[in-house]
Amino acid sequence: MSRLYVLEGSASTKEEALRITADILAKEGCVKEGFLESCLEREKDYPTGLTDYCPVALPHTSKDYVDKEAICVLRLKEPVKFKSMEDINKDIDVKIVINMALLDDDKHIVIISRIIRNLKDQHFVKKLETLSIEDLKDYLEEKIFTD
Amino acid sequence: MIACGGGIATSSFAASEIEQIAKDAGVQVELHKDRIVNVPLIAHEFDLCCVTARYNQDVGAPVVQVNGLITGINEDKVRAEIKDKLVELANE
Repeated sequence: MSRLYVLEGSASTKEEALRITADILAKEGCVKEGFLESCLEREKDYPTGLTDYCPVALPHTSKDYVDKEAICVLRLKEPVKFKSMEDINKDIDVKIVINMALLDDDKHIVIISRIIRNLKDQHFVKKLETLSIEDLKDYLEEKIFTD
Repeated sequence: MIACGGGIATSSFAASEIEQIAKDAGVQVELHKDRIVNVPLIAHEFDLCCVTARYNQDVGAPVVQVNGLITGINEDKVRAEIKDKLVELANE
């Protein structure tokens, strides 16, 4: 059973934003020591900012740092810059950080597929930006974790 | 055969999408998922190399950029390109 954490926060850099999500995942016993550093390191080589139309980043790292599969969604009051997945030289303003602590099992691909498919839907992106945090958690449970 | 670069989540997603495209096109494929840094080292062992980032090097195999599968930008074009390449390879 995957876990979902949804919160709102402020950060001025992607490093700060990632730290907020990694701290939650660590506190909840989902990730091992070094998870944050590994996410940050990976972001340098394989950035996860999506597009100008979709202000979302999908940081993640190897299952070696994961104990329990979990997703932490952070909505930022002000956007921070992530590098684009498509073009490492391009900055993307990111308002929603979806940190994915994943184990490499059959289930994880189902979860990722649902997240990515939904992110192509502008209606879904709008909900990410506008729903209250409580409603957003219910909405994501339904969209991402319900079979 | 397909080598997908990028790493963990996005390449897993791209791989599952490509598997479906191949299935729909009636082409049997064997997928190998790998990190993008390994592309120059092993791409020549494969018929087709799909990558989820910009890639311009000559790696000894045709390269298709498949990030459109993830971002949704030009997704139809990317899908068509993958399908055409797979069908072309299958008929060789």
